[in-house]
Amino acid sequence: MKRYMIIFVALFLMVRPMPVVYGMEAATQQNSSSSVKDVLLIYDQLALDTVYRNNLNAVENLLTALSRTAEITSIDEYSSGRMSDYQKVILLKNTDNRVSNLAFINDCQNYAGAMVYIGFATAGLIPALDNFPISRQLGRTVSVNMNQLVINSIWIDELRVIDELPGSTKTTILVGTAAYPFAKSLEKLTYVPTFIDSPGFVLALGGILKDWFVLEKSVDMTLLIPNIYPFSDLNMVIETSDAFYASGIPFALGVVPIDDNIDFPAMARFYQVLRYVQSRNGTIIVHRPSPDTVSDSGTVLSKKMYAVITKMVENGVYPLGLATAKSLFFDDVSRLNPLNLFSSGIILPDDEIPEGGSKETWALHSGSLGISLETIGNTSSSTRNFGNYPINTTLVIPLPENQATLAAQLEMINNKWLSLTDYKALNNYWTIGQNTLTSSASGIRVNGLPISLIFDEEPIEDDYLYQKPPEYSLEKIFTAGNAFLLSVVGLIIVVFSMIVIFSRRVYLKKFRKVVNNEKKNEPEKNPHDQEENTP
Amino acid sequence: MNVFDYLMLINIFLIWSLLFVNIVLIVAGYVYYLKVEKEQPPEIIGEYPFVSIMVPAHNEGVVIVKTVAALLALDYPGDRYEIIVINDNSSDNSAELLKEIQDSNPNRNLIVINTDKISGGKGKSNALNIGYQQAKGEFIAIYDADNTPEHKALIYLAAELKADDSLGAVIGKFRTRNKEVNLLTRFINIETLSFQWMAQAGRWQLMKLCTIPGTNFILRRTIIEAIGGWDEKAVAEDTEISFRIYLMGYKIKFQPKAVTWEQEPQTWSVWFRQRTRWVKGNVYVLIKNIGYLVDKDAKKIRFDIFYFLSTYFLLLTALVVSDVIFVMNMAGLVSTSIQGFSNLLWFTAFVMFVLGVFIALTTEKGEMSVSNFFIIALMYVSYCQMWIIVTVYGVFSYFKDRIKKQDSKWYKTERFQG
Repeated sequence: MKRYMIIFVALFLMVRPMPVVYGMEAATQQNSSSSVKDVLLIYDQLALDTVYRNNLNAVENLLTALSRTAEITSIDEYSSGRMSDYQKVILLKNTDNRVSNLAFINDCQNYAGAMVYIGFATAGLIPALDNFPISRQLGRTVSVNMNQLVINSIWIDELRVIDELPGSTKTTILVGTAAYPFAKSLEKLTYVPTFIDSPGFVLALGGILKDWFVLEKSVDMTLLIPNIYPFSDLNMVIETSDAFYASGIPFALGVVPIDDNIDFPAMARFYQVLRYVQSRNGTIIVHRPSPDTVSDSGTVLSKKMYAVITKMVENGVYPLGLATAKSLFFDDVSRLNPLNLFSSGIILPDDEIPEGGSKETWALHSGSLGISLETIGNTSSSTRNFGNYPINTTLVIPLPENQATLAAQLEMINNKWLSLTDYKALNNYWTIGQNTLTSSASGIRVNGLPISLIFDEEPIEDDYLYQKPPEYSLEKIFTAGNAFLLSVVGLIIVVFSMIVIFSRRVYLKKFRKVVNNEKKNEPEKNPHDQEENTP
Repeated sequence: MNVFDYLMLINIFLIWSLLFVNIVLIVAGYVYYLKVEKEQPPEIIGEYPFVSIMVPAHNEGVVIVKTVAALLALDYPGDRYEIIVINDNSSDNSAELLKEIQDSNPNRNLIVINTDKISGGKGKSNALNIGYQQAKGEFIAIYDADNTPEHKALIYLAAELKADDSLGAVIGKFRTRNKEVNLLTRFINIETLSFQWMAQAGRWQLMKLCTIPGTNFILRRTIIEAIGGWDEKAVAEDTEISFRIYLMGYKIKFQPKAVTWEQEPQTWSVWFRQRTRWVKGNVYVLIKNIGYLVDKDAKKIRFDIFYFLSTYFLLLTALVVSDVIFVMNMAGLVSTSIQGFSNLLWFTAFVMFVLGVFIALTTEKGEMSVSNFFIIALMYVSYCQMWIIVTVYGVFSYFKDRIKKQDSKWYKTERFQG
């Protein structure tokens, strides 16, 4: 009996899907996918028809960029006592509507933990909030001041501000010459009266949340050129790398994973370019595959991503982080192997309409929020050096289409005196398959061994067969059989043709008079061959 | 290689093997044709044997007069043959028409047996058994009710049978008298000619084997006596009786100069029903006699049984299975890894088919034409494919009848004016 049990167990192991096997590695990431979430995010409505429609997205982006895990629920779905399970609650109030969930109201009034309240202040919901002096202004162009950085010219339809002097508050809203605190804290309550999905407000809120979570003070800004494919303009990639390298600008290249045709010379050339980028102080970041292009099956995605990353490492390309929209962080962690094995990532702007309902997120160990060059352009710094936004940010700029665009981008970066951090200096790590990769200011190490990023061009096979002929069984037998049968059939056709030619003579001789045979080529009716009974 | 590869391999072997068997038969058939052309048919020396011609007829009023007239006009001494028309439970005016002929030929041996639904109406075999009760001839000839035999048809058949004691039966050739009606009758004309020159003449030339075609044949009375008449369960009574003749140690010879002209189906529905009956009949005979494949005493019919087995089961299965696998492969439902043969080979095989069939047509007056060459090519993609459907349906119907324990119904081929 035991013998059969062993066979059963062996079979079980053989047929288990890959994620279970890989799951051992995923276990190392338990800290990032813990079932205990850092914060409960409660929103009243998505407010899709208003300027606040993307607010939930923006807060979710911030949380993932701050590497915070969250549980998200709407007020309607809120159940009594849930709030008390969390030490931190964010309440996003996108509308001025009354709240009808009595359990929620009751819990709010009795909640003893830390809370950030964003948006419309509903009377009676949070007792402490009723004492905040709030004024309302319509149609204003405002600036958001984050310590030394000011993001200007933000149009806002309805501005609610805490009507008091900012005092020592680092983050303020500037309306003309007046300044208001971006947020006000009273005991365990922090109130942000106005929030819209605009870089100034998002980054300012990010700073508030970072302090609220008591996260590390130091922040970094990195630079990412996203969406690089094997069929991107690789010459421009090289040119951009050279230009950034010459300007001393550390940058990262976001590579879209390709899991098909990875043995093709085009792919080898692509890897060669990526190695070259690394040699120009570029860092390789891997994008999360588009959900539209991969199967929903986590097993398929895992297998493909393992293959992609293993192949990259084999070819001397070392991805150090993940670039993804925040929607990734709502997926089941077990479905994301090995994407969740990266320690760091860049959260790209996500414009998709948020989905309602309850959901949970996981987080990378460290993240940064993607911002655009336009945001940099709209930001003025009180010092020569640009400095940093309150949270980790990544400047996302598209691959320049031409040299003029490249020059413009370089000019902007240089003129702004941006202080960009080399991504690989940010203590990144991952273990995928047989490889453990770490990076720090001292460089990249694979399985503990330092690797050289010096570019070494390798010959690429030119006579590669892009479309390999399909492999057939019994090919030799069929090829020989085909030739044999062709010969036999050919011979039979010759014999048949000879019979037909011969039979033509027999036919004419039998059915036609000899005289007519020479005059016309038509068989003539021979009365002797035709019976009376013949129809 | 997977299971589909092995299936395809078996199919390829079967299809090509059977193709080559038929190619050999084509050549042998043509050789026999040349031989027959050189030789004169034997003459009857001494007294002409008395022949009973039996014509089973069920509602054959449209054609029966012409058939009996042709039989009365045979080039054979009138007192040495009798015509027995079994008017089998007809509901049309056959009885009146036959009475008129009888009355106008008072000095001829023309017997008309009218049966009703109690004594008759049970199919061709039953009708033949009824006719046989009154037959006096030492030789029995059978003609279908739509036949117009040529004058010398009977004398050629009788002379062959009389000249060779080893022969149990002699079969003649049948031609399509309505071949000009439409494309279907042209197809059938080509089909019947090629079948006779390939399967009948070819087998006779190589193995002294033929199969009684159901009409225009003659056989010894002693054979019918020995086998106890026709098997009334057999829908294809001709194939059945052929096997019985071989088992008795006789041969069946093909005499192509004994010609009869018969009317073939002019519509696809009639054709489909007639051919379904043939298939069911042949499957019945095949299953009934399959044991002879391993019977030491049945060497002579082994090839015939194998030939039927090949046609109705092996080739059919091979074609259907390979078609199904091909379609499923195209749909991505199954995958095969065997290389298969080149398109050139399949094309040459097609050319070979067309030429092979055309050879059979060169034996007949007016048939060696360019139009027929193209009709053969057209047959390959239409008529031949229809045969697959008919065979599948026939085999299916046969087994359905067996499961339901129903006797196969004898479908009488519908006749047409003309």
